Amino acid sequence: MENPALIELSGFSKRYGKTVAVHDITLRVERGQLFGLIGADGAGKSSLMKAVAGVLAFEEGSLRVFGTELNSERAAEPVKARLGFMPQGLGLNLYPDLTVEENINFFARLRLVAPAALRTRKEALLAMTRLTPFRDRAMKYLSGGMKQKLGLICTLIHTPELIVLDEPTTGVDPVSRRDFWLILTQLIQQEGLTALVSTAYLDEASRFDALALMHNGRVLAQGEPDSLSQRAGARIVRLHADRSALTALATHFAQLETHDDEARVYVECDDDLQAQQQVLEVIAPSSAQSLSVHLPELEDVFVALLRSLEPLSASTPHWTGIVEHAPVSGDNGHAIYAAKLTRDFGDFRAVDEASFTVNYGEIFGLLGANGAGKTTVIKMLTGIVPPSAGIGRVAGADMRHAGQAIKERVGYMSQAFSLYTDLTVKENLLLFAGVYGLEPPLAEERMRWVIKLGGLQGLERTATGSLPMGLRQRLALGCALIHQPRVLFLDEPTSGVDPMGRRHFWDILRTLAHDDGVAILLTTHYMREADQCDHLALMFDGRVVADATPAQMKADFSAEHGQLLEVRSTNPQQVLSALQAAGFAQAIQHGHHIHVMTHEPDTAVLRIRAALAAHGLADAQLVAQALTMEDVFVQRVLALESSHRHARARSRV
Amino acid sequence: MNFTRLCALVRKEMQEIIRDRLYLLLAFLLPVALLVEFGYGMTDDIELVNLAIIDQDHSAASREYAQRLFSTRHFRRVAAPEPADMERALSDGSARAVLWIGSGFERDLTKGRTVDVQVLIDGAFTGAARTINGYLEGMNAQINMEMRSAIQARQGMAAPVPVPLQAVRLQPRFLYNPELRSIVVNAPSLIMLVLMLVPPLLIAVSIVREKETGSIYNIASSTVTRLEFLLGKLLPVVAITMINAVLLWLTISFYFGVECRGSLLQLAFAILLYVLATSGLGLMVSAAVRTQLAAIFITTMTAIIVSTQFSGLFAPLDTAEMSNQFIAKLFPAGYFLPMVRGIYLKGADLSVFWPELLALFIYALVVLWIAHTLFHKRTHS
Amino acid sequence: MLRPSFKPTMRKLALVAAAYRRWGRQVMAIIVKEWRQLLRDRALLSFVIFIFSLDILLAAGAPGFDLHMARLGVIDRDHSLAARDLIYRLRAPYFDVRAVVDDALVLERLLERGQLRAVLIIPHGFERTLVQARQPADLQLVIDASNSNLAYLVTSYSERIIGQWTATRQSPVAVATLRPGGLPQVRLQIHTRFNADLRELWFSTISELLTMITVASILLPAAALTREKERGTIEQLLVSPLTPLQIVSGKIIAMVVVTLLGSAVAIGVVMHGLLDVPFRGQVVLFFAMVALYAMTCAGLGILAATFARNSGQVGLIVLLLVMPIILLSGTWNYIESMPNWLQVLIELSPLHHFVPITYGILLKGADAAAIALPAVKMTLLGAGFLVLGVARFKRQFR
Repeated sequence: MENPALIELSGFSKRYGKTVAVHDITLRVERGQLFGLIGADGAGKSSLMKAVAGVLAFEEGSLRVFGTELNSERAAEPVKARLGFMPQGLGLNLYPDLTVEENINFFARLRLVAPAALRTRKEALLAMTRLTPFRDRAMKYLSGGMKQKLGLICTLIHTPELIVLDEPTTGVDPVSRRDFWLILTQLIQQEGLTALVSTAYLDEASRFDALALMHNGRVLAQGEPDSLSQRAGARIVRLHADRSALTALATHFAQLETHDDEARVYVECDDDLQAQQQVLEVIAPSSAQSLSVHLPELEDVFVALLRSLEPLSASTPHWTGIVEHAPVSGDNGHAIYAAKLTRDFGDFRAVDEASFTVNYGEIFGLLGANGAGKTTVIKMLTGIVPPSAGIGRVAGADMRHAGQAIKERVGYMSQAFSLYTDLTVKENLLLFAGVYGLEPPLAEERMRWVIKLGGLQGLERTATGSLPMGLRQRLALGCALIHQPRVLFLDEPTSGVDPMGRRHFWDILRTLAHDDGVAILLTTHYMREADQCDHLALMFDGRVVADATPAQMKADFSAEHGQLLEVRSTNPQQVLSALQAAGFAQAIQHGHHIHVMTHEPDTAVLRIRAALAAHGLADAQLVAQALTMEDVFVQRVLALESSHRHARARSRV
Repeated sequence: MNFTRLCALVRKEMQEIIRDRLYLLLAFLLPVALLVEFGYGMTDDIELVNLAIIDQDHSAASREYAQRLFSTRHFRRVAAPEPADMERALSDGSARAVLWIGSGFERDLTKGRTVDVQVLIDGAFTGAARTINGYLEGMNAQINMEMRSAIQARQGMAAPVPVPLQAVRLQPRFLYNPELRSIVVNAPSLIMLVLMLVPPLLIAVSIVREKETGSIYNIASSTVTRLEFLLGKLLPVVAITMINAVLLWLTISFYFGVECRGSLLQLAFAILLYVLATSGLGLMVSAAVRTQLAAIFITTMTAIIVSTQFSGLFAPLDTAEMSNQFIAKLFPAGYFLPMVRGIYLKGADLSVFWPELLALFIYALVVLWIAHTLFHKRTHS
Repeated sequence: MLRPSFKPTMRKLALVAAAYRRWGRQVMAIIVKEWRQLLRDRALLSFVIFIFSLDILLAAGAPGFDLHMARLGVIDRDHSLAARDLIYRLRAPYFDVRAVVDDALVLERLLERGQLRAVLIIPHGFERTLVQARQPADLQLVIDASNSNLAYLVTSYSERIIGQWTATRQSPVAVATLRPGGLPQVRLQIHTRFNADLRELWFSTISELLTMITVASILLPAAALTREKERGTIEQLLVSPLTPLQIVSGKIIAMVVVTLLGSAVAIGVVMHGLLDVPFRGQVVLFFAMVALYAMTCAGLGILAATFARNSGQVGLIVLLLVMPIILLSGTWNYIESMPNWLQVLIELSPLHHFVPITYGILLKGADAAAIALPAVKMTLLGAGFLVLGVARFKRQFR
């Protein structure tokens, strides 16, 4: 008899009223697999996972978990002892007032873990997640990354055979995300777990043994990550070119990413040379510099698949009506001016003398790990939280005392999702149009503009709560834009939004900033997005530790740490340990690849090859790569964290 | 039913309640605060009620009559309006009743005649109107008696046989509350009222809150049974409320000086069943609705309506319409009130109330069962 | 000559008018939002409809303050004609007479369980004493005083009935001995105004409506504001050009309209239409007062919400406020009879001022002048709540 799958779905469908959330899905998850569900919020991942966890009833098809048909509330019960489920939302399923340890104990008792077993397992998991020092801290005072790790401990405390994790890394910063994955993979290997994990981050996709790309309740593709990129039959051509050449490329290739003078072109062609040829047919070879051909990444494949389903909407609509372009006076024309902004919550200093400026027409990215103080900075600038010290001015005025006129120049989209979920799309827009005092005809006009801008046509009467996250975020942006502000604050606007949605969102932001002169301050955990900002500030522990353009940040980092070498292998874990043993202490895993920074690339290459050969990993490829923002962010934050720890350790002595 | 799991749930609820300091403070402060306020405020004894007298006779007799009325603390004299404005004094609320002594009052009395005194009572507040009416008539009868016996005493020699002024004398004996003190009457009612209001509200938001945040999935995805979960919500609230009941009892017996005549243990048992029933009601609402706002509103309103209209708080239930008496059977307050009055004031034995006890017990089971059917671990949305 | 100065004034006026219109539009946006949210929450909406319709109808059948079929046990130890005649008098609708066993233990049981309200004991030799007319014939009435109002009613009704009964059988001998012209007496001619027949339902439906308006218009805005705090939607409003006063006014006005609609249905359809409760005053005056009252209550609700961080807390805080307001504001109790400190405190209860206004306009046909004092007090109170509420609301976030 064939080894039965751990999870088996066939013809599975789930509806909420008339809306179809999941449509006719057939899927198998084998024992011991790390299976990924990839797609935006609203793709149907959550519904599928809840059904697997036995907490959601479904209409059609069959669903077998551990060989048991989950077709009723009663039937689902016996399965629950063998699985752990972590629902979506940063620590939302945990109990904020309880301490870390009390949370763990509660889950353990609920799962009937014997006291002796609980003690050893708790210590082991706490140590592994490095939460031991925080065991007496109330859960509500943990950072986002720590909350997720605690959530993982609580899900795993009863040594389940299957864990179902719904978007465990959404809203978590890159460093904590990396940490989370490391712990998860380690546990899966140690305990022989099977895991069903969903994510909206496509760069995490390569970590899965197998995955399914989901969109609008359907599975677009499934299989192993590498085979999916190969099966796509496409290549990515990267090159530098001038503006006219880029425009020419844009008219010929539907899937194209540009940044400054650099372009990534998705060419539907299965051969490196032919792909290069196709690009060079469009532009003169002389105008293309440093051209290279790569296999597409999963994100490219996914976007290509989505594109085949629904073509990108037309160009972003501009401001309607008369726009006052003249910047507001004061602060030398700076849109946002922060000088030594400081905020204490009791003994805890959330923001420590943060200073920066943002100009009109600039997209300013505020980066930092969860809990670095980004949101508090935004809340101080928008006047929601008073600063303990320092000055924060927006459009030349302190928002706390600003009059109506100034407040009308400012738009804000908060991290805690700020729409009224019980109102429809149109009602939310009407509310904010009214709140900003727009005259009815103007309000009507702006509403049409926002609906077009956000691609929300046909959804005007839908309750906001039932929209997928991506659409909600666009609506929230629309609500923040309805009065056409000159300064825009966006707190993690793209968390949980699919890659298409994010691209669309960024098109809007760029148009707003570069064409209409709006000043935008945003925070993000997607480092690809950070790359697209005009200016970045990196926050750590409440302080601004770096403030430069993305290129400058990378250059500074390069100057300090040298060239980036990427080691590609089918067995990244072994490569990592081999390299660390060989003295490359800061080697870091990026998906399937290992990144190493070195000042002497030539000797390093030799040392790495030797180290790999010694471990029988000679098949690994070694490539010199350009730095990404992700490298910079992760390395910087890790370095700061370790020096911070040392400083603290010293101060304690 | 697994006790380890149940204990885990109960302990978690307790920890959460203890951490929410304001909530904790209110949960314990509220019952006693309500008790003290009502203890002072809810008096049916009429005392210093505004009464206006228009005296057109201006005689010694009319003055004496008026003075007799105000000799007790029941009435307080307010400025007399012009006779034409008699109704005005009632409609603007400056007096609850107006007495009009016409001219010739003294003259007619000395002639041994029957003199009419006009009285207008504000009937808007029916209860008050009846009570004032009764008091006035009672006092008037008293005054007449005294007046007549004084006259008889003076004429004693003249009459051949002394005839009793009253043929039949009613000798009332007030059981359980001989001084007719309001607080004595109110004490058990307040236990009923407070324990009807507070526990459902304490429990109402608890399930909905978990639905709103998503922590309900911890329960739904584990092997915790629905009953364990519901009991895990119910028991902490019952425990808090039982502590509250002790605080109420201490306040009533030591602060207001009304001691329990029956067995405290039996009282505790009756209260326990009642609290199970009332908090079960909150549990039922919490399992049924989707938002905390709705949960709070519906429980608060239901508790207020039930405790004021369907409990017999102000007037006995058997004076209500049949339909209302039937509805009262659907809520626990009506069963509890006679029981707590019986035990607390009359020193009755609990066995006397076995039908009520049984009703409350069944009631608690039924609401728990309804909550159990309304709450699902595997839902459709 | 006036022209040059006239024009700028006009322009200024137009600007001011535009500013006011804008202010109004912004508040209107909040009002409409509140309504929509209420309409979306089906469970909540159904209950709001219930409290203004069916609940008022139910209040019509609430227990009354009159004596109605009070269970009276009778022990007749005289077995005489007079005793039987007297017992016959003590019948419905006031009393439900039941013959009981002459056994102290049984009686105690019955009284403890509340199965008897009182027991009348007619002693041996009752008729003889009555006929001899040398001394009063005594009757014993044992009353359960655990409900003092009822005890009082039982006493006074039985006294009255017995009094009437004796008058009809006053022995001719006794009458003859009296001086011609008789003894003097004062007879009270009592007339009840505004509710001549003392119909309980007039009182009970009005008081129930007052309770419902009070609780709804304090609790709903309080809980709605707390929800916005919990969910963080309030931040979005704070960043907008809305002033705290506008946010608070929007919420209050939304509630006022709901209350007005609710009380219009309760009074117009249920009370006036179905139950024939009179409406003697001016309609406009009354609803203006309802609006003012709802505003005051909503202001109190907003103020309460500024003290709460979560829904659980706000529910308890509101209960702490609402119960004394309902029970101590003069519908169920005598304000005059309360201790002085409580009389001072109750001045802070909006319902205390609204009770005379409502009963005044509905039953007494009071005009504006008659209710001016409580109306002014209520307005001041409302203004106070609003100022405090807005101030605390501001401070919370700033």
